[in-house]
This record gives sequence, C-alpha cells and structure tokens, in this order.
Amino acid sequence: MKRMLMSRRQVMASAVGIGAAAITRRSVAAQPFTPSAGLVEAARKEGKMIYYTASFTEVEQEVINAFNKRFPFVRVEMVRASGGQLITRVKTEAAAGKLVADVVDHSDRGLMKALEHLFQDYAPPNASDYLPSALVSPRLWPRLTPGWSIAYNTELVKNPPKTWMDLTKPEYAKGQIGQVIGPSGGTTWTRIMFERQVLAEDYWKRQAATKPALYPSGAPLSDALVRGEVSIAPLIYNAILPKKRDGAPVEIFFPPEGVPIVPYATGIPKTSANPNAARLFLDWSLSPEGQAFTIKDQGNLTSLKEPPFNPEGFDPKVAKVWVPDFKQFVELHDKWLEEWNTVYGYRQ
Amino acid sequence: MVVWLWSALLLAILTFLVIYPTGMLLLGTLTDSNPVTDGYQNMHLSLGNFATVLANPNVHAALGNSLLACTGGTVVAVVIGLAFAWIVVRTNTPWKGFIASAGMLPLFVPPLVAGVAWAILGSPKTGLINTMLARMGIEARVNLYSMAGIIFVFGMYYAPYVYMFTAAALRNMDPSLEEAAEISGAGPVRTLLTITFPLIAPAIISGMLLSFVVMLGIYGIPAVLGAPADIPVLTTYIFALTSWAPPRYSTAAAVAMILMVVTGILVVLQQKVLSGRSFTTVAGKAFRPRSLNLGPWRFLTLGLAFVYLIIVVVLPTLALLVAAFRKFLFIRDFASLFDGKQYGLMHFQRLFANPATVNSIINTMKVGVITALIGGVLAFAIGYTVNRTQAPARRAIDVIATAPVAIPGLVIGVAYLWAWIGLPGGFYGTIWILALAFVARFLPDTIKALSTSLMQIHRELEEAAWICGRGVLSTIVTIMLPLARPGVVAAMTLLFVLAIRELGSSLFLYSSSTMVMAVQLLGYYEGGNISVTAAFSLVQMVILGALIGVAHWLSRGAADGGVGRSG
Amino acid sequence: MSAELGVEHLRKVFATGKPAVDDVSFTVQAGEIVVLLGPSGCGKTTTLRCVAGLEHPTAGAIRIGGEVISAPEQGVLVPPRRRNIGMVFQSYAVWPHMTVRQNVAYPLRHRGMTRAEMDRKVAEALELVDLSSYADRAVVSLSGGQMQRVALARSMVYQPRLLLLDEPLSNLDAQLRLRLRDDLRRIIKRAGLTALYVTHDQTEAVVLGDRIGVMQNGKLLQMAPPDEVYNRPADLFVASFTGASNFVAGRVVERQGEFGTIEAGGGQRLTAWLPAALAPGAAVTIAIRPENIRFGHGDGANRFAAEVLAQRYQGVQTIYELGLFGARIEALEVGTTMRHEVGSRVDVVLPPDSCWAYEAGTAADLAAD
Ligand SMILES: Nc1ncnc2c1ncn2[C@@H]1O[C@H](COP(=O)(O)OP(=O)(O)OP(=O)(O)O)[C@@H](O)[C@H]1O
Ligand SMILES: [Mg+2]
Repeated sequence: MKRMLMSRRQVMASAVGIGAAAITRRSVAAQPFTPSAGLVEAARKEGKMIYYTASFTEVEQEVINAFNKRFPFVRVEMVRASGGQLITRVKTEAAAGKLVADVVDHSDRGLMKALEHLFQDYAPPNASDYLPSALVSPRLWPRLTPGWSIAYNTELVKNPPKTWMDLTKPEYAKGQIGQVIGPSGGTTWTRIMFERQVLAEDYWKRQAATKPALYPSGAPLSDALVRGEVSIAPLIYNAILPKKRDGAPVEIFFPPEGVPIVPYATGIPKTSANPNAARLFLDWSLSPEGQAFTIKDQGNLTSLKEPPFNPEGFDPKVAKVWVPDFKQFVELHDKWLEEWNTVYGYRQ
Repeated sequence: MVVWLWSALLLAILTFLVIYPTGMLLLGTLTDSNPVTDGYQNMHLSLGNFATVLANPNVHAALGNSLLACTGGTVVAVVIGLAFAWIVVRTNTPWKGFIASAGMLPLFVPPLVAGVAWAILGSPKTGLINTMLARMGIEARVNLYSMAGIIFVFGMYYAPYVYMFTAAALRNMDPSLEEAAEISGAGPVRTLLTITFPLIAPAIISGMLLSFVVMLGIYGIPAVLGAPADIPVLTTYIFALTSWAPPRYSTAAAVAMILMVVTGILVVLQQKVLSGRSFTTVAGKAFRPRSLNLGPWRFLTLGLAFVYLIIVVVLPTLALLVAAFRKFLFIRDFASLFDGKQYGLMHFQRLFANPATVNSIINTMKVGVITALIGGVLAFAIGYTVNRTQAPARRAIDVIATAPVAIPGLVIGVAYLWAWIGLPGGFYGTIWILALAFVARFLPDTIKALSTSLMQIHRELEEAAWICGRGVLSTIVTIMLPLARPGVVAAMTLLFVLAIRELGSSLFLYSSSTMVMAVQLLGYYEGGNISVTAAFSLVQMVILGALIGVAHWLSRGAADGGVGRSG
Repeated sequence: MSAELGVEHLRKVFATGKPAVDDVSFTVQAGEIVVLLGPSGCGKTTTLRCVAGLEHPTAGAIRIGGEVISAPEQGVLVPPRRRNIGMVFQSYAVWPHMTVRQNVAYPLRHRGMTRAEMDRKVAEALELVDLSSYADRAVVSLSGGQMQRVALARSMVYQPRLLLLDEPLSNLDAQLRLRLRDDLRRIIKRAGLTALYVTHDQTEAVVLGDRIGVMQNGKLLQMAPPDEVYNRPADLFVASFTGASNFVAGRVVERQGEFGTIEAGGGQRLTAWLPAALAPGAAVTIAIRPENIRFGHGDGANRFAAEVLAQRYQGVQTIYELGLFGARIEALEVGTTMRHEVGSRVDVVLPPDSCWAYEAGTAADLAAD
C-alpha cells in the first residue's frame, strides 16, 4: 500500500509536467517540415516502405494520405494487426530473418522495449523537443499519443456523466456503459492503471458493479456507441472524434480527474530495406507539422514538450494529462490485468 | 514400381502440407515458448502447459459453448438442408431452379458479414427487427446476442453444406428405389424415412460432419453475436489469446489441440458409421429424375423455401444496404429509417479511397484461382488413389489428407507460419504461402466433395474403359473425369469460395503486398466502422456472386451439381 | 387375390408433346400373364407405370378387379400404395441398406400382421425364389440374378392383385436370363398372379406370355396368344418385328376367301393370306419368314424355282439367299450340313398360309430393332 502511494505521487508529477507544457504553449503554430534534400532523394529512390501498425486502419490511412500529400513518391504499404498479433508477427519474422517492416508502430511500449534489439538507432531532428517521460528507448519514438475521453450518445442520454467517477453511478447501470476489455492492449492498460492509481483503489469494483458491456477493442465500441448499442463509453478520443465531426449523435468530453495518454513506441527495424523512406516518414510524423496533423485532424494529443495545438474540446486548464510510470507499466501488467479480469468477470 | 513412386510422391506432398505444420503446432503445445522466435534450443518440452490449459475453467466454458453452438447449429442445418434438398430435387415445387440457386447464396457470405448483418438486425437494443416490432406495437423483442442467436445464424448459414451433399446424393439415387417402396404400400413420409434418408445417410452424415466442423472453426459469427453477451467459443477464445498483449500462443495451441481431438473423434465416429456400407447407386443405366407431385401442397413448400430465402438472403442484404448507405446506423424509430437525407455514398467513397481495398480484391482473386486449381488437382489425385486404386499406403494418405479438418483456420495460420517461415526461398510473404495453406486447409472438404461423386460412379463404367484397351490415365481422362465432372466442378468452385472467404489462416500469413479481402474486412470491422464494413461486405458479395455466375456459365455443359447450380 | 386388369383408351402425353401411349386398350384376365413387346421407346414402360400409378395418365381408364383406379376424366387417381400391386424394376431396386429378409419383409410392415405371420410369409416368398439360405445376407453381397429374385420375392410376398414387371431380366447375362425366364413363369403361375410383363425380347415374350401385345409408337398393334402373333401378324410391323424379314411387293389379282392371288415382281403369281380390307388391284407387300420357306418339291400352290445367290452357314442352320420375284429372298434350312451350292437352282415351296399380304408399306414402317 505504501509503495502504491509512492508510485502514484511520482506519476502525478510527470503528468503535471506534460499538462503544464500544454498550457504555456497552446497557441504556438506548427512550423512546416523541411527535410534534407539528401534524405528526400534517397527516399524517392526507394519509392516505398512497409508500415506495421497496431493503430486502426482508417486512422492510419489518413496519416498515410497526409504524408503522401507532401511526399507522393513514397508508396506506403500498411499491415494492421491487433497489438498481440502484431508483436507475434514481428517476433516470428525477425526470428526467421524475414522481418519486412520498415516501420513498426505499437501502443504497448513495454512489449516494444523488449524488442529494442531489433531496431536501429534513430532519432528525429527535433528529438530534444520530446518529453523524456514519453521515451522508453533511444530507438523508439512516440509517433502517436492518443488520450482517453468519455463519450455518450446524445439521443439516449438525457443526464450525461461529467467525471470518471460518474461512471460508477447506478443510474448508468445495466449495460448502458460500454468498456474495452483490460487485456486488449497498451491503451486500455494505461487507462485501467489510471483508474486504480488515480481515481480510487476500488474504482474497478464500483464501475464493474454497473455491469458494463465489454468490447474487445475501442473501435467497435465507438461504433456501438454511435448506433446506440451502448449509451456511454470511455474512448480514445481519436476513435470517436471523426464520427462526431461527421454528425453522429455523440458528445465527447475530457473528464476533470485526468486524461490518461498513451505514447506509442515507433521505430525502424535494423533489417529495413527502405530505411530512408522510413526515416522520412518518421521525421515527418514526429515533426511539429506531423504532430499538428494528428492533433488537429485526428484528435490525438502529443508527447512534444510544446504542443503546437490542443485537440478540439481539450482544455489543459480543466483536464490534466496523465502518463503512466513506465516501470510500473511493465511490472504491474500481468498481476493487475488478472485482477481486472476477475473484477469484471472477464474470462481468460 | 510406378504405384510406389506415386504413393511416395503423394505422401511427400502431404507431409509438407500437413504433417510438418501440425508437428510444429504440437511442439508449440508442449512448451511455453514460441519455437520460432525463442529458438529451438531454448525449448523445454513439458506437459505442464497442456495440463494447465486442461484445468482452466474458461477453457471448459469455451469448449462447452462451442459444442452447444455447433450441435444446435448442425441440427438446424440438417433439418433445413435436407428439407431444401428434398424440395428442390424431389418435388414439383414451382421455381425450384431459382430456389436452388438462391439457396446457395449463404455459402458466399463470409461469416463475419453474416454476423455483422445479423447484429444489425437482431441486436436487442438497436436491431432493425426490434425497431420494426416496436413500430407494429408488438411487445416481443428478439435478442440474437445469445447462444440461441448463434445457433440460429449457424444453422441458417451452414444448411447449404448439408444441402450440397444430400441434393447430389438424392439426384444420383435411382428413383425406382423409392417407387418400389411406394408400390409396396409405404406412404411418402414412410418412404422418406425408411428408404430415402437411410440411402443417402452417407451424404447426410458427411454434410453433417462437414458443417459441424466448419462451424467449430468459424470466428466471425460468434465473435459478433457472442462477444456482447460474453459467450466465448473456442475460436473467439483462441483469437483473444493471440490478440492479447502479450499473446498466449502456447495456450492457444493447446486449446486448438482440444479442438483437434474433438473433431478427430467425430471423424472416426463418422467412418465407423459408414464402414461396411456400400451405397453405390449410380447404375450403368441412366435414369430419369423423378419429382413428386405435391398438388396444392407445392405452394406450402414454395412458401417455406421463400421464408428461408428471406431470412438468409433478403433480410441480411437489406440490413447491409441500410448500413452501407446510411450515414449513421443510429435509428431513432421506424420513420427515420426512411429519411432520405440520411443516405448517401460516403461509406463507399471512403472504402475505395483506401488503395488497400482494391489491392485486397486483386490478391484474393489470385489466391482463389491458384487454390482452386492446385487444390482441385491434388484432391482428385488423392481421392482417386484412395477410392479407386490398390496403391500402397492409400489408407495413410487418406488419414493424413483428412487431418486438417480437425484444425481450425486460426491455428493452421500459426502452424503454417511457424512451419514455413524458416524454409529457404522467398516463400513467406508471397501469395503462394496463402494458397498452399488454403489448399492444405480445405483438402479434406475438397476430397470429401469429390469422393462422394467418385464413390457413386460404378466401378464397371471405369472397368469397361480399361477393357476397351484404355490405360489408367486415359480412363481417368475419358471416363472418370467426365462422369465426375459435376463433382470436380462443384469441388473446385467450393474451394474457390472457401479460399476467398477464408479469414482465420490468412490472418497470420498475409503481408503488406498480399493482403486479402477477408483480412481487410476484419480490419474495417475492428476499425469500428460498421458502415464501411457493410459497404465492403456488399462489394464482396457482388464480386462472389459475379464469379459464381461465371463459373456456372462455364460449366453449363456439365451435369447438375455445381455450387449455386439449379436442380 | 389376383384380379383382372382392364385398360381402356389409355393415353399419356408428356410435356414433350408426342403421345408416349396413344389410345391403348386391353385386358389381362385374372391369373393370366400378358407381355407387352415392342422396340425401344414404343411406350411399354409408360403403360406399365400408368398401371402402377407412378405416372399419371392423360386420359383413359384403368381398372383392377373391376375397381377403377385411374380415370383422369372422373378425377379418380388411386396412389400406388393403395393399388395393392407388385412391381419388379429393371434396375432391381433392392434397397442396399437392408438385408434380404428386410427387403422382403418391408411391404408387410404396417399391414397389421403378427410377427409370426410376417416371418412365415417372408420365408415362403424366399422359398419360392429359392433364396432361403440367403435371408440374412446384405443384398449388396448378392449377384445380379439373386438381387432380381429378391426383388421378385419382395413384390409377391403380400400377394398383390397384380404383378408388374419391367424388363426384369435385361440386366442379366444370357444364360441366367434363359434360366430365370423359365423360373419366372413357373413362380408367377404357381403363385397364381395376374402379371403384366414388359420386354423387347421376343423369345422372352413367347416363353413367358399367355398373350403378347405388340406396341409401336405408343399404339397397341395386336394382342394375341404367341402362336397367333407369329402366324397371323396383324400388320406389316408386327410381322417384321417378330422376324418376317422377306418382303415382296405385288398387286392383288383376285380373292379366294381368306386368300388371294398376288402378282409379284417378274410377273410370277403366288397365293397369300389376304386381310379382308384389300380388294383386287390394291398394291400389297407380302411378308415371309425365312423359316417358312421349304426346299424341295412339294405339292399345292406357290412352287417356284430359284437360284442360290449366297449362303451363310450358322452351324445348326444355313441361310440361303435366293433370287426370286426379281429380289433377294432369304430362306433358312435347319441341319448341320449345307445342301445347296451357290449358283445352283433349287425348288422351293412358299406355303400360302405363311405368306401374308398387307397394304403396301414403306421401309420406314418396317424399321424394327
Ligand atoms: N418422363 C418423361 N418425360 C418425357 N418423355 C418421356 C418420359 N417418359 C417417357 N417418355 C417418352 O415416352 C416414350 C416412351 O417411353 P417408354 O419409357 O415407355 O419406352 P419403352 O417402350 O419402355 O422403351 P425401352 O424399351 O427403351 O425401355 C419415349 O419416347 C420417351 O422418350
Ligand atoms: Mg422401358
């Protein structure tokens, strides 16, 4: 218990760091990305790259489209798989010496850290602009930093929740709330860590008492919310914002107790056949311009010390971002997930 | 000498396609490491992992659910499939050609699509059926997010398997066998129960077994309908195990082993039941098909057939259409369903804005054709060798070729990945690894489909050709192939359709340049956009429909029996 | 028990148009065996299946034992299972999933019979067809002839009013066919059944039938005892189908009672049996069976001298081709020696009773198998 408290304090400290940065620099505009002519030429010669990602197909297709608007000569072939399958694929291919990926992009920094040896040394030109707390290895970079929000269907919910704690209220019981299962991947693991470390030690128990409907991942849950299968759901902001923009009957808010964020780990394998195209892609993604795109167009946050933007609806004065302590992120994983499964009655 | 070489060749091919990957899977079960990534030298074999899995109550729950869902689904499928076969082949029900073709449509529907369509229709909260019921002032609500829902959808969608086997058998049955019963004083029902069904029992059992085993391996339907109600079955459980972070492959492999054992028992049972029975009914003499004059009752059978078609074809298609063309699938009430402003082409635009969509379609066609050709030839070679020759080791060939029936696609994917990625040559990442995996995976289905038609051809017809001075090869070409042609065409078409829809084994074998439709579809589904998923589902159904139409047209000279072919 | 079968003006038209059975009428007396004989496709099977109820006639009435079982005009159509008839199919149609005993016992089930009675009847039927020792064998392990006998036992075990047989021997080898042919008549007669039997084999028809009905193109041309069919064919087709292979064209000169004088090719005249409808001056075709031409000097009418043009030795008989009436006429002589050299002249007698004149026909009418 004592250790518990300690860790929570550490975590809060780093979270405040990111939040504060967000407040001070919210109006800074993104400078355009200007790669070296040599890199562009080399990438053009390669002409393509293979991109492994655990993010969602549609989200990443937009990223690729934006990248291709700047650099149309690099054809990006995407392989999308869920977190676990992507890791297995990378491991298996690497073991057989056939890892064909030029960029690997994953939400679970812990799993990626364990594969650090597969990746080459790489740092973007603006490396020093990134928060040290978001970095787990000099070879892996937080290309994407999504954050958690709560969304509800405006047609179905007359008295919407306002905080994380509201999700434990009996008035939202009997399957009105949808939840992504704990073991689905790094993003959800981050959120449930937040729930237990920041909100309340027994938050899971109280929330599970409302009998939420469980979904295997955030994407189907966001769709279920729009369709009205569930009325309220904690969701990664980038999974629901595009739907709201398209006119779906949903409202989204960042709860005041905190916004758990999930810095991705992205790197270039040593075996990359198109390292220059990969570099160009990552340099662009990690540049203020690339980050601005994921924030503005997709509703992500960023791990840049000085965010060029804040996503629509995110007010750093109201909601503080929270990033998990990496050591605990790795160490607590198995034990806590097992407990989460028990509390939520999820079979494993 | 030649036969020895031939047997050895077949065994070698089967070893490469079946034994080697299965061995890798077994290794995976008996260790808690991944033999490829962690290296063979670090592997410690033990039964511990397996024992833990066996004792896991969640495994018991998944196994129980699987058996329940598949048993229920098979019962429904057999009832529907048999009724359908009988109506189409043996009665004078009007429009039966159309009924027969339309009744095969569920075969072309990928399970994930079926699941999605029925979720849109039968969700307890937002299902279109419930919206409709509410509109009509009816209190009752349907809930397909349940075991009953899974059984219902399973039964509806896998009835064509039973139909295919039994319709062919019925068609190939000498009608005087039934007439003799009628003359003997038996009424139509008694004739059906004591003569017709027992005579086509091998076909019924084959169809039953096939549909049961196929259901056991289906992921899409229980994933969509079972997940909201927290009903795990073996496939969704295995999939979950492999997609958690970190994935639990050895647990998945162990669960798969359980699945293999269950299926293995079923296969052995089936052979026990069938052994000692010869049901060669195609005599040297051709006979006229016979159809029962149902009188006014034929409109009842027509009605029943239409109800079935509405349930498996019309309703889901409507659901997919609504989903694919509607901006959001939130339907406040019945009236808003007809609000024209809500509809448009945006989901299709989104779908085709992604270059991966078209690539996946092209790749799938390539894989389908390669699979159908290689698989058809290999299955014919094996089926002929096993059923028609005295070649050495033909029992072994038969057993090995049937083994993949017991391995669900998901696990085959892992097994083949482990087995083949280490082989020299740029095999991994090409379209061939997918095609070969499909060939191996569907070998039992193809052989079974072919054997039924091979078995039903009287030996004398073939012997007649030998006597006419033909060699074995020329006999096959001039006699067996033409006679078995409906079977061969049907088997290849079946293989093509199966390959196009196959999701489980593709998941682990595709690469960026060999992405196939099924995987792409799952990507869209997991990406959480039901509408784009529905749009892509429709595209796939149209493509499949067109292909089947072409296949049908190409084989129009062949006798009846092809998939999607009328009675 | 066995009953009389009456068929009146039976017609059956399939969707394809041309009638398969066209205005066929006949009766089969109780206990009689009638054989329908005719070339392939003439409508024998269709007639039989109409009687069985497996085809639905277009028109006409069918009676068994006086009871109307089929009369489409009156809307009467008794289903096959209520007709109480037995049928033996060409393809045997024994049920492969049953033993011999089960096959034979099947029709007895649901007839309100005690087990013992059933066993007795099955045993009797198997006894009748000589298969008692095979009762518990699977039918698939039997030979073709044995299967056929199972089918026969099965169709007789319940003492049907009428037994229908559709080419029951055609799938068997020649020797077996000979043996079973004789057995069949014996068995049917012993059981005292009325039987309608379809075949295209003449010898089978002659041996088996009390009467033979010859069919062509859906029409029944003649129904009579075998010797009448052979000695007084009703028309040119029947004559030719039953083996009268010599045809001589001619013209009626005059009539003497049942017979007439015909002037044939080469101006030669002969006496032949002349149906009543033909008057002097009519063009006729005379049909003569090769067996009925006698060599040597006889007395009475129709003596001719002919040249031997060719000979075909067949072991127990020889066929000679003779130049007569300006045509080639075949004559057959029994015996193992050839007596007439090619080129020699021989005397032949054509008994007037065996020369049948019909209205002149074309070759197409004579097309027989
Ligand atoms: N179900 C049917 N539909 C259409 N035409 C038919 C049908 N059954 C018979 N026919 C036609 O009716 C005619 C008589 O057929 P049927 O079977 O009675 O001949 P058959 O005398 O038994 O000949 P075979 O000796 O070859 O068995 C044939 O021209 C045949 O093509
Ligand atoms: Mg016939």
